[in-house]
Amino acid sequence: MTPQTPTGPRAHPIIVGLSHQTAPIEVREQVSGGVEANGDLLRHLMERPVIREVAVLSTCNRVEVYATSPHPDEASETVSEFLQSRAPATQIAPHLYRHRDAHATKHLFRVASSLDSLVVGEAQILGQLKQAFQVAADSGTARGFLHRCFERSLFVAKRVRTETGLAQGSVSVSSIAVELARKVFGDLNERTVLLLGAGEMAELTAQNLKKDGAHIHMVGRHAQRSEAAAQRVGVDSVPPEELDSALLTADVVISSTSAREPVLTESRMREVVKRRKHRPLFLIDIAVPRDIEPAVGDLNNTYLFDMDDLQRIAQENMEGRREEAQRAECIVEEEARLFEQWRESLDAQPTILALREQVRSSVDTELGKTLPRLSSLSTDERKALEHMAQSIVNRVLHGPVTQLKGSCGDPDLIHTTRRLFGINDVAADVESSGENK
Amino acid sequence: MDAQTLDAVLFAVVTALYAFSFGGFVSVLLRGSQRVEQLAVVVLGIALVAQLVRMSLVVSQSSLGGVQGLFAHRLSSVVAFAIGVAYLGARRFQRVSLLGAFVTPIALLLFVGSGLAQGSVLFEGSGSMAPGVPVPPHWHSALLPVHIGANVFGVAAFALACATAAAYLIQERLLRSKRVSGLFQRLPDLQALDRWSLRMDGLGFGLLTLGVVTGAMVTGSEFLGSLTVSRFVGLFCWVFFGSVLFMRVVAGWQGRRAAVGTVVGFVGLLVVLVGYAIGGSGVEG
Repeated sequence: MTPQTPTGPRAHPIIVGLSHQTAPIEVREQVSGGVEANGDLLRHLMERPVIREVAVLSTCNRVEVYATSPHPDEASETVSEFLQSRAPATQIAPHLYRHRDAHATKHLFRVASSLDSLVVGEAQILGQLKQAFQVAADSGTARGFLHRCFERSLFVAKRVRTETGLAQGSVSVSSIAVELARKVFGDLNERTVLLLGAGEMAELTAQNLKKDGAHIHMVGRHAQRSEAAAQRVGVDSVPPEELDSALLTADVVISSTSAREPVLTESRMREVVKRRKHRPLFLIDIAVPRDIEPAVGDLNNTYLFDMDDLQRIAQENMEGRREEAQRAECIVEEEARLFEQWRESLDAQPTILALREQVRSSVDTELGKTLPRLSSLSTDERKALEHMAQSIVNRVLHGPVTQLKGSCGDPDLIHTTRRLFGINDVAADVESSGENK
Repeated sequence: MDAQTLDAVLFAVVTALYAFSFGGFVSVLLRGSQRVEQLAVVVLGIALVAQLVRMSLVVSQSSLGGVQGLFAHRLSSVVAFAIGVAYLGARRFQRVSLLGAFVTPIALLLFVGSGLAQGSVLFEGSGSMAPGVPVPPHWHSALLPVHIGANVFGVAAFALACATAAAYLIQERLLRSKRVSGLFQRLPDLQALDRWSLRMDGLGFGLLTLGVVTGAMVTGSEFLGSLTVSRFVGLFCWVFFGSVLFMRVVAGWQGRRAAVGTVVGFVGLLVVLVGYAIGGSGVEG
């Protein structure tokens, strides 16, 4: 429903954009390459008279323009043309989606809650959204209704994260390995990670551990190749003959060699564990065939996870997130409905303000006529009379104002109220002040 | 309401509060809810206040008065109180809130054990309101409260060490069986649990050492004369947990072995304490 008020056009939220759900990567990279969310771009968009506020989110998975406009259809068209102009080599129209009013706010809430992300529940999108709106706020292009929308989306995202398990459990193998290592050692700062062999997954996991402050060492079966790989990844290289001594100091071992036989046998590791004085050791075997004998996982204070384990956990976490996504959708739905009710109630604000002003003005006029004739009244008595008049105004208006606020901007009720009280015109600034409340 | 009835009512109230708090902590552990956790902590606090009132009542009714009167209220009940206080104190400094699910059942068991003692709430007669066996006059000194306090809080520290070690064993079991969602996510990491258990072991051992030394000073040559239950409890704890600490430092015990040692030691102690509470009476029963 598009609220129409007798006070003239008011701003409607709109979203125009494309994402991984509507556009292939070739199109997304064309558009995101041309749309860098900065102050110049936002001010450039604000030059269009049809746009009142604007913010832009540009990531590898989505490009979205959030705006408010009194003429939403015209504004959507303008934004679409703008996006097309930024990727002239590609026809983007078939990939664009357009939302307005309640659909727009609900979409924003879903994006902020990571329900619309490629990996549902990932936290990165919220940071990107915050940054996008910070740029818009700093540039002065999102200070009113759009700013309120954004603040609400942050609240909804927080609610989703708190009340559901949507963000719980990693869904990538490398993140799971890091998460498990944290569950063994707590802080990974200054921990030692030993890479056995080089592989994409092992390197990715090691890089994630490095971010937490861990020291990475790499051992390969062939010294020269191992050294080259270590240099490429940016870690220390250990000669193959020093593997056992490296195992003594390691906290985490990630193995991904191409050996046909197990590199870390149970008998070898039993000796290592003994010499380590049973300090905890976390082993990740992502090689196929496996590098570490399964019996190693039974040794004291030694924990072994292979590729199947990690993938099973990823699958379970993904399923868990899918279940939680249902609950998250309910929260988003509820919040979007409440927000829409609030937004629609803004349509009644100018009428409420005008009504109060009109009645107050009448009372002031009557008091102005009456009080001079009551010269015998003391100052306190005059104040009491004025106070009484004000109380009567509030009591009389309480019913109509409550009805108007609860009407979600019902145009019939607004019209009726205006006719009953003879309210004809409301200044534009009254409307905008109502929006910003 | 006479003192005996009030004592029985307070016993029932404290038992119910401990049980409610335990249920709350278990719910937090299984489902995770900050509000329930806060509620469980508040309920535990109320239980301790109610227990303090009950102990004050006993002290006022006891012909012994003071520390002796308090101790006559039964060792296990006082230890339960100390465990609750120690837990609430520890959670102010460490992220040990989830350990409530492991600590409260220990306190509940000890408290109920004290109530099941002959002549207490469930039986006619003197029981917990009894004057207790008086401490010989020549033992009276300023060191006596230090001796009792050090022993009681030493045992409480071991209770916390046991709770932490139990959490460690569960967490390790979940990790080995590769069930890494739910409870596994809520429990602290293994390293933290091992560290807390070590600290509590160390603290408990220090306090018990103080208890043994002051005990020897209070009783003088009688210290080794006869092995009473309370002396046995103190010495058993001191030797056992001293051994666990020794193995940690010298033999490099950590993680699972240290946790098993701590749990086995404390369960043994718990059996002695509860058996003593049900079967014995007074400070030197």
